[in-house]
Amino acid sequence: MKFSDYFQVTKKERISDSVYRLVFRSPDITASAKPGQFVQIRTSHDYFPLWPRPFSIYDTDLNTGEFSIIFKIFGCGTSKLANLAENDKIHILGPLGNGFDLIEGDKPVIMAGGGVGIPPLYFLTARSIDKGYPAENITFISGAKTKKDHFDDGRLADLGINLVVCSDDGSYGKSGTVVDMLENELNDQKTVYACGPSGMLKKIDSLIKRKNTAGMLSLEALMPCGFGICSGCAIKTVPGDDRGSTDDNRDYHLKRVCLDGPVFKAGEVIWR
Amino acid sequence: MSVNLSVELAGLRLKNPVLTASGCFAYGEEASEIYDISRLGGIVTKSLTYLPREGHPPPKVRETDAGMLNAIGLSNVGIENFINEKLPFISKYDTACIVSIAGSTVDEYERLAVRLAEHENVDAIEVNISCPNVDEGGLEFGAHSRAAGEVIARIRKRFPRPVIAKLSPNVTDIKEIAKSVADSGADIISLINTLVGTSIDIEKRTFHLSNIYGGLSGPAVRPVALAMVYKVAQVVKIPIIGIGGISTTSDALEFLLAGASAIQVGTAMFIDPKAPLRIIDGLGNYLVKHKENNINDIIGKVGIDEF
Repeated sequence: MKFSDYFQVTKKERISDSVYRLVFRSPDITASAKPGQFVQIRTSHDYFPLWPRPFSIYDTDLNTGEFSIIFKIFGCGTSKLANLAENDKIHILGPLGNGFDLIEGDKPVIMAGGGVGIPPLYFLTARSIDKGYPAENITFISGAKTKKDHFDDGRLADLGINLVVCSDDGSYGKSGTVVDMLENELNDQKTVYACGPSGMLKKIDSLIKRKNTAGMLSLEALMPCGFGICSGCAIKTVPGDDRGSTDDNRDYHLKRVCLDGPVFKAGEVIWR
Repeated sequence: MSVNLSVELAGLRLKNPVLTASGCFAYGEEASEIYDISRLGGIVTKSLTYLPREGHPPPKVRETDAGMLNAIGLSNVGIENFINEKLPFISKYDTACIVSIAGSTVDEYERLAVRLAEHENVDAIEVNISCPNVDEGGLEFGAHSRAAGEVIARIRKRFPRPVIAKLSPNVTDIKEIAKSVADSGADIISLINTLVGTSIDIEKRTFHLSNIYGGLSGPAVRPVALAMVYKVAQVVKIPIIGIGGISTTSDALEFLLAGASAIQVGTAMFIDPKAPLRIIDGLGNYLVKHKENNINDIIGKVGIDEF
């Protein structure tokens, strides 16, 4: 079940210069959301921008029926979102996408989150620990471009995980990119969970292959609908056995980031 | 006061005049996870071709001012997968099932119609002779009145229930195409499909869409669509379904007043999947407010004021 309605903003807080956290009340979305899923938020009531914007779910509180997102002001949609006040109502559709399966067993894992990629990985980390996965087996790389736009509201540090904070310019945590940090940490015993910009994911995908291990990548995409009806967010993937016949002999299969993803297996995406 | 929102177009009975547009509802499964799609007057499927199609490579869409460009390229599951996997699902719902078809040859259109004729639960077919995004077929038929008429005539012979011709706005005189398909046996005309457009990335100095051109839709095209519906309503006697940027009740009412007996909601589905439901409720409220009780009484009732 997916829910589409106007929901109330219950809290707004600023995390860094251009990064905000917004909390919404929707017991339905909150109860059914799983880590890695997202919501489509209509940031304006006019047609600028026309499409809703996708935001990963950061956290849920089943007691209050609230869920939150963290976002950075990027364009006109996120600017309008940042202007919302507590008690405002806004149109939201969700929860959407396949999401991650919670981490089970005790094999070590590495979370690699760049900017907007951090919230869904926090959600996955926190819920997996809740279900009994050992926190000490999780390395979490939290990357920002610069201190001004970091996504860290302090909660990652409370999870008892091995936290690696970095920024491209060295102004926040270690100096270097998420990919640089991952290069140091990764070996063939560790599974990677990554989310962030396409450029970062592309590099991580080849790093996973080079280090001979496995991983799950959660992709960003602009999506007109977010729930599978328009096919506008389709990306090229390696054809699987389930492809069936088509009218041509293309060497790729299109999958919708919104419905078939946003989480894909490492090695599945054909990068541009 | 109870109001009557049901309409009948050439034997196609709809519980209300609000349909979802082709390519904006897939095959109904996704929206059914959000609400009961039986509330809709009807649904129009993605355009089907004989074999499955991947469509164009990404990027396929681009947001524009109050609109969007798409070059999906008729990606679809193909007619056999549709009949085996999608049609049984749609048939569970109490809503009209209109199947959109697109061929690259007249024969392909005809074979699609033959296959769908076997299935009583396909209430009508909408013939897409207006897709601006594919190299062959589509607009090649829709832009020429003789070719458009030929496709419709062939399908008309093969399909025993209503045949809807979906027209393109990318033509010199839409009235000529409308008259041709009506003369060739179309039971209903739907319009408009998207307007050809494009968009350029000034930093990379390349086109935003892999296909270069895409179809413009959304609120930006509504006045163009409305004018074309009104023009066509003046020259044909068969019912019209209005399409083009309809997002709200007032948008829908404009098209009904201009002469459309029903409307389709397209791009607005992406922004608010419940937009058709809001329009259905809104039409009822409009009638109550105007102390009327039958939606049929307002169809084509626009007048010309003296200025």
